[in-house]
Amino acid sequence: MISLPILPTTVIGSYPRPKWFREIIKGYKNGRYGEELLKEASDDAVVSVISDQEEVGIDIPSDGEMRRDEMVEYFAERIEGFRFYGPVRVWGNNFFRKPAVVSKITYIRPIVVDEYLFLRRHSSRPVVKVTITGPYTIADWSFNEYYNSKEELAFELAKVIGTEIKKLEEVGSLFVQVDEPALTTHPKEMDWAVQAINKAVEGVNIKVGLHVCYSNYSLLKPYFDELRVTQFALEFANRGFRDLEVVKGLSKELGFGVIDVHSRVVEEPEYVAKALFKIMEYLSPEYIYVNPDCGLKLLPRSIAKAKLRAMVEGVMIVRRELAKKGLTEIPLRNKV
Amino acid sequence: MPITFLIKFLNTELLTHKELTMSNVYSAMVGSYPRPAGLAKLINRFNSGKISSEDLELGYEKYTYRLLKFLTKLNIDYFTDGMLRWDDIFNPLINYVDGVKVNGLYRFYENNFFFRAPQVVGKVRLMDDCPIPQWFKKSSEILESVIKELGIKSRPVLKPVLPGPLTLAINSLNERYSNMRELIGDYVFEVLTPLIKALRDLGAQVIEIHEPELTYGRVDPGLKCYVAGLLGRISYDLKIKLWIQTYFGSASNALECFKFISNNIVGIDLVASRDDYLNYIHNFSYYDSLAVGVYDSRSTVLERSRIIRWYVAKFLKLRIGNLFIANNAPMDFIPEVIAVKKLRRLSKFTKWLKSKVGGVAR
Ligand SMILES: [Zn+2]
Repeated sequence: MISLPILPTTVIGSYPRPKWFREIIKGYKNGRYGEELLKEASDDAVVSVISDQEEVGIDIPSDGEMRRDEMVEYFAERIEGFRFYGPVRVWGNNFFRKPAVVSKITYIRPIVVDEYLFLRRHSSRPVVKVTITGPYTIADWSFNEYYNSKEELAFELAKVIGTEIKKLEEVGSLFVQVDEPALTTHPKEMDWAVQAINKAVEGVNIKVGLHVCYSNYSLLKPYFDELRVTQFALEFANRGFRDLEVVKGLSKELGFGVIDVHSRVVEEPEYVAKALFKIMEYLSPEYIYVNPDCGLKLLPRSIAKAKLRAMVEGVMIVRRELAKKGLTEIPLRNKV
Repeated sequence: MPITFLIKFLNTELLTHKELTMSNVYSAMVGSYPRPAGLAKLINRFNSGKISSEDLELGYEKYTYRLLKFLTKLNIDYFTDGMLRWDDIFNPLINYVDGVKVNGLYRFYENNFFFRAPQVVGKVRLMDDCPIPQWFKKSSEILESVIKELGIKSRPVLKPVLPGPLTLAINSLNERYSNMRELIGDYVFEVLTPLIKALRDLGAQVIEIHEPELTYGRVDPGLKCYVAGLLGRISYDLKIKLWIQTYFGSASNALECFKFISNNIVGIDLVASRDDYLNYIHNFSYYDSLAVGVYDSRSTVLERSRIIRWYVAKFLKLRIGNLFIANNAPMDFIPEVIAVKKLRRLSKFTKWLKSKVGGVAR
């Protein structure tokens, strides 16, 4: 059995792309650089951001999603059945290439397996995290021209995502996080959305977490038991650690969001420790992981790194207290 | 039913009713047009200090010209200038309202689209330097030049757009007013009324007011009717036609309050009303003006004219004075290429319909 230090520290997934890497992507997009250089730069960028995370003491790093421009787009480009018409506004002057489903959704080839293998080779940590956008969010953020309903589409996507998670399991991945930021946005659809997620993780024997952010967690709470995942990674710093009672009685692990990813102010370690002592009033420390609220990609890299460092230092304060009670390790749980 | 029979049925149903000629039919575009990628790029360059505000202004004018020319060529009778300068239906207007701070991002109804919310911290009042009337003036001048360039005789109508008081109030983070009606009243009389006056004085014939909240259905009917009453009153007092555009909810949620604005143009989202529209559309019988949003601004599926014909036929029987065929909601939710295709279809369909039932040919 693999064990982790108590209160394992991790990230949600994305990390700021190094500036030089953004320049190369720009050059690639306007034809100045070729595929080969982009690939080499992507690999180097992943190595850089793994090193950022490990240097500050993150226990479970990710590859920072260096190769992904956007969380739905990336998957839609690699699953058959999608087409892109052009950018759609999300807010202000920010756009995303919203995909449209125009034919049968089909799994063609592994989507993030190579990402995992590269991360595995370059991280010194026993456990690394791979993120996958969930079937409901992909369905919700796409136009549906082909299926009779969004529900039907989500279940087709669940099969594809399920296949991918099993491929990750086959090559040795230990921890997959399904990202479903859209999960609570249409409350009437939640019953079947939860079933679609369960379908995606059916028959999977490795650890699966579920990340849901900037959402009404009281809508999610009734599904805590039903969802076949071992962990919920939720955002709490952004909401000033209100709503903590929502995890009271949670029989699974919590990925506790303690870092606000929308603020450039770096948190104090004591602030992180205080939040942890508070959540421990609701949940046993043996069932708590520690992470930022959400992906860090919108922050400057130096601030993202400083925030992770503060997070780890905050955890160290609490670990010292827990060590006095003999609590130093937890097992990596595939089931709870 | 065999498909050929269905087609035949759909075709004949529309044409066998004498009363069809009762309505004047118009084509219309409501709300925003997807911000073109080129314009978005210019705005980014301006925001990062790479181009001047004059260059940005030229960009706005260029893209407004392109859009107005496109719409005029399509023979659309009533349209907006695409709201190309707006980020959402509240911004930048709320930047020019005293007592309001611009807060964080909030989800715009059930869309994956977010707006900056008005945070009400003091008594609300329109600032003197609000540029919205001037933007309308500029767009009107651009339209004028397009009309001249194309040699068009009967002129399309350009509608300025404003958020409705109910939608504004419900989506505000209210930290000042103890009572919702008071906030709505101040939005109406201190913010919207001076704007509507200014727009009217600059030649606006119709002002499009976005009130999705009227049909979305989270506020009580009493409050909705109160707001509709206020809108009816402004229209009467200021002698201006308002185009009250609802969306994201079934029109059945607002039938009661539409009575207060029935001298204006009521815009309904038929896509959101599809499940139950046959149960209530008789309520629109003998309306002065109704805009039926049949082209879905939230889907990339292109509407087939056969289906549109079927829906519109139901409305043609209602002896509505002016029937507008339109998109159902702002078009921010679809890519520009799709918006272009939908507007082309809308234009083609309305042209055909006018040839069958009369209406004002352009
Ligand atoms: Zn998130």
